[in-house]
Amino acid sequence: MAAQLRNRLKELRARHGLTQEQLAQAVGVTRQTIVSTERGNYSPSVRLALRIARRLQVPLEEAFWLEDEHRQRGAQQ
Amino acid sequence: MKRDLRWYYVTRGLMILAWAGLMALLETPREIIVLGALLMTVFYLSLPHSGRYVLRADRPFAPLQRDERERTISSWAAAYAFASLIVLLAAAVLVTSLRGQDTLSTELVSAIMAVGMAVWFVASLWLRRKL
Repeated sequence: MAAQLRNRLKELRARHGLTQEQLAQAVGVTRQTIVSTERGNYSPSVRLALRIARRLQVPLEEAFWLEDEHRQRGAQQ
Repeated sequence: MKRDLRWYYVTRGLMILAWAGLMALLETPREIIVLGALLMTVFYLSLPHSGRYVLRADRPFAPLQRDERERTISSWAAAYAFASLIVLLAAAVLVTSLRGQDTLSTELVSAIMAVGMAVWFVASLWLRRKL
């Protein structure tokens, strides 16, 4: 089974004081795309993920990660 | 993002007028023209507020653009509809040939097309909830 793509967009967005609509406009998508991405229902393209990470001023892997990678990292630590 | 939709409304209004003029030339009943123009007006007015499009100020005549999620939904819905059409057409050809007939009836092909459109519509709704 494919590893689930997880994210912490909601937390990062709140840190920057951005609404879903503002983040959507900043990265050129609809608010619904941000809603679906935050919920983990929609996996964004690499291009969109990079734009989101850049807007939230974090490295890509801090905004998005694969669930099994997260578990492996936890086990190594 | 600047949301100037002035040219969008002007061009769509002209398109509706052109359509109404063409229908009038074809001697379509006035009630049908008015109803059609009204439906088109509501449609074009609602599109920018549907939440399905990104508004692009740099394209004043075509400011509504699908984002990648909407394009994914459209592609998958079209793929489901196409697959349904192929399967149904193959079944129809098989059944027709087993009955010893040479051609598919117009009614049957129309029904298959209608099913394809319904599949596209339902798939779009379902994917919009899922994605």
